[in-house]
Amino acid sequence: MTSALQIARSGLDALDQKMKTISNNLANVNTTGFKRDRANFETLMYQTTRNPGAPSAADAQYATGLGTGTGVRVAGTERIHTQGSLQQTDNALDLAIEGSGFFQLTLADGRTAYSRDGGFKLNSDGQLVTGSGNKLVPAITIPDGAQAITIAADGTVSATLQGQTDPAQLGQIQIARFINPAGLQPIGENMYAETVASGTAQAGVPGTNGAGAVRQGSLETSNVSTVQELVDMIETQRAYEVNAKVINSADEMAKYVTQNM
Amino acid sequence: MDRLIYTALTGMRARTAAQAVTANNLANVSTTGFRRELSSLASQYLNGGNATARVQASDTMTTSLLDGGAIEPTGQPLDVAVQGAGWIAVQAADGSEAYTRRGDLRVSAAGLLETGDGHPVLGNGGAIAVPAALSVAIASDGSISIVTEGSPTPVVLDRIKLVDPLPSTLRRGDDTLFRTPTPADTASSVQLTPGALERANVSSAAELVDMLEAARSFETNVKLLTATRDIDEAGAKLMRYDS
Repeated sequence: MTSALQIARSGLDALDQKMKTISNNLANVNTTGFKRDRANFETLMYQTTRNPGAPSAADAQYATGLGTGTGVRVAGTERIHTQGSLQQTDNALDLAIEGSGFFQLTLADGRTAYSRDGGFKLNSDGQLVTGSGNKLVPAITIPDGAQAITIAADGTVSATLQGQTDPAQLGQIQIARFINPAGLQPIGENMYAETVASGTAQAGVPGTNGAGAVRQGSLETSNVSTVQELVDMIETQRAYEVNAKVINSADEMAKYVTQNM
Repeated sequence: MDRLIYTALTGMRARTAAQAVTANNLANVSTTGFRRELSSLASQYLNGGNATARVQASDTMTTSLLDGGAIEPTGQPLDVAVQGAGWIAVQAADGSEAYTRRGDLRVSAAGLLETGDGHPVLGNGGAIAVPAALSVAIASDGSISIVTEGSPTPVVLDRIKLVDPLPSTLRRGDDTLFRTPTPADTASSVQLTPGALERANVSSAAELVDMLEAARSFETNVKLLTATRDIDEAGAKLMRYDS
């Protein structure tokens, strides 16, 4: 039988993990396009010493059994992909996705990453890149001296080029969607990588087939609610305290035996 | 007098087991839909000889208490809480039908609706496949509907199997899921609260009181042991020649 000490330890471990999740959410409260995580707790296996209904005598059965739980663990963290609110920045290259989907980016090693962070900049070649220099896919180049860069809800990028009066179309941004966005693997810097769990990316025109629309001049804030996280933090702390009390009590019991026998 | 030692030992063992049950309840105080366990003892009369005082504590028994936990709104479309009595039918790892109060649902990598601990939720005809959609909603009767780009009006996919078997027929398995001897029938009376989760039905204060009681009772039994030793020592001292 697992002792009270070990069971309480599993509780402390799991709550410690939950606290890390909460503090990561709070640390990213101002990160553009961040999605909060939720720790899912799962009861560990029970150890059945005697089944209910087992014979207690020739013609009688135990009405209840003896099954002791062995504690708790964090089954995993679940990313909650709800929409963050849109913040107006009036910067022509700040984009937000209203609805589901991700911008597609090329990593330095050639792989494709996905992100909701639409704070784009221009690199020295005039290409649209993220703050850390990852290029947008499909690549969009804004020529030098282009004026009035306009990005429509369907991702069409147009600008008035030097010496011309009519705006010229420079490309179209695509939005990638996943069957199960919660299955994407976070790889840091606001980016995610495709996994078996997420399914393959389905790139499409923004605003069609379930892909979100592109909003120019806005950024998506994180979907973390500070109040919610603080309430979760208080609850986690109280749960941690009662589990620590169990350790204390089980220790007192053991101490009493060693001191008196 | 040696028999008193064994009677005290059964008391100590029972209290240690009770402490483990309390520790498990407290460890799961944040587990969605967890049902607390109650440990109980039975007195076991040992007949024979003239010592009617030999009543030992028999093995601890555990019972799951099925009272409801607090319902906490989360606003997530795939979170549901069962209102009042009732259970959500899921598929256990061995393929059998089992029941849970856990309503933190999600869509798995395989596109199936499953609980937060990874058990596929059962609908009218087995597991429920949820295709890619703009939004997924669960109604209070368990109907799952999706809105896709092609059909702006919600399409009902399936209905979560909700059951309400007699509590006395439910048994908790080692995998923490509850089962009945034969699969229970769908009960239309069971209602869900969408966008909310049911917490564990564990009260920290009550469990802490149980824990203190078990600890004090354990110490009393240790006292009995030490008293037995003192009596034995006193008896042995009387028998010595050189005293």
